[in-house]
Parts: sequence; structure tokens; C-alpha cells
Amino acid sequence: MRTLIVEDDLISRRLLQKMLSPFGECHVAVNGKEAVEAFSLALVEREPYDLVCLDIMMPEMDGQECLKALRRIEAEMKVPPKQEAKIFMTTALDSMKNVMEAYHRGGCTAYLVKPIALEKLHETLREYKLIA
Amino acid sequence: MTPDPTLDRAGVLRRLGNDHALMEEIFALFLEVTPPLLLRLNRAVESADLAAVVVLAHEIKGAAANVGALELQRQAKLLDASARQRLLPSVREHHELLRLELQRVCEAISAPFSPEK
Repeated sequence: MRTLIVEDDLISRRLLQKMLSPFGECHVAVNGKEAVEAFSLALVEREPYDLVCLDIMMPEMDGQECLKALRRIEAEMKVPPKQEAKIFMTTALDSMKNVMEAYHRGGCTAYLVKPIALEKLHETLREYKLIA
Repeated sequence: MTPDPTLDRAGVLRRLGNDHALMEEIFALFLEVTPPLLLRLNRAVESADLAAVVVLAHEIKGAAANVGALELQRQAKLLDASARQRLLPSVREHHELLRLELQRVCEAISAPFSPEK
């Protein structure tokens, strides 16, 4: 499993990296702009990400905007729906409204409430068949 | 058992699948990242830069949540709300409370761990 972690907060980024690295390669981006670049490059190099963990609240390009950009890139590159990356939005409980918006507008696969709990993360990875 | 509002070690350990090493690593990162954040926050409050206060309170809130610093998380949330409402006296008050709580959290992290506490 190839994962892109998009998170501006150092501690959350480190935590996700530690939790996800046993399942494969993990790359990190600290804002939406970096994420879009890494995501495009991975598709061009035919090594797409299976999972993107995307923080909702980030400076510059926030998670919502970034989500739209990532799905637009997949559409432009004609990625078949079954091969699209799973995108988990990560959010604190007080920004749940933003997550629901991401759901309703489409494109978000699941969400994880921060601080991330290891067990919940594993459960969600299993639910979307990213791990056995 | 009621969680310790200053530092809920038991809750953090549960959340991290009982990985003590990871918890210690996260605590060390917290001690590294929060002092510069506080310095920036102090300057933002002094200069009444409320937009910066919102951003910094949000960052401290996130860091606090990760280490189980429940009271600090609450204080950061209150500071964030005051700054968003542009209530400067309230911002100053919550900033002071946050500063004191952050000191407590750093002391609790640095103190030798006694499981019965």
C-alpha cells in the first residue's frame, strides 16, 4: 500500500507515518499544494497512491480544495473509478461540518477523527480493503 | 477512572495500541514544537493580531489533543473562539490560562512516570 499523508501539524504527521508505515511506503506533504504535486507525479510515474490521508484544515490550500483537485487530476488522467485512490479526511471533532460537506460533494472515501486512534485506523483500512 | 486533565497518559496509550515508545516519541515532539508556538502566540496576543492567534491556538489545540492534554486542548479552543469573536480582553485572559496550563503539561511530560497517579 502506497500512502500520501497530507498534514500540516508535525505531531499528527509523525503519528500517521508511524501507524501506516508497517503497511507500505508512506510519503508526506505539509500542505495541499505539495499534495497535488506529489499525487500528480505518482500518477505520471505509474506508481499511484492507494491511500491519501488528508487534513481538512490547512493553510494555503485546505483539505476541501485539495480533495477536489486530487479527484480532478484522476478524472483528467482517466483513472478508472475502481482504481481511484481512497481518500480519508482527517479532522478534529469541532470541524465535522467540513467533513460532511466533503462527503456530500463527493470524493471523500471516509473520515478519521483526530487524534487518530490506531484501532480505528486499522478498522477503516480493513473496511476499504486496504489491508487484510 | 477519571482521566488526568493535564496529561491523560492512559488514554494516549490506549489510542496508540499500548505503544509506549511511540507515546514517548510524541511527548518529545510536543516538548520540541510547543515552546516556539507559544512564543509566536505571545507576540500575536501582544500585537492584537487575532488572525494569527486563531491559527496558533488551532495548532496548540491539535498538539494538545495528540498528547492527551485535555485541559490545554480546552483552553486552546476557548482562546480560538475568543479570537474569532474578536474579544480582546477574553483573548488575553485565555492566553494567560493557556500559558499556565502548557507549563503544567510540559512539567507532567518531563516528570518521572508513576502508573498509579
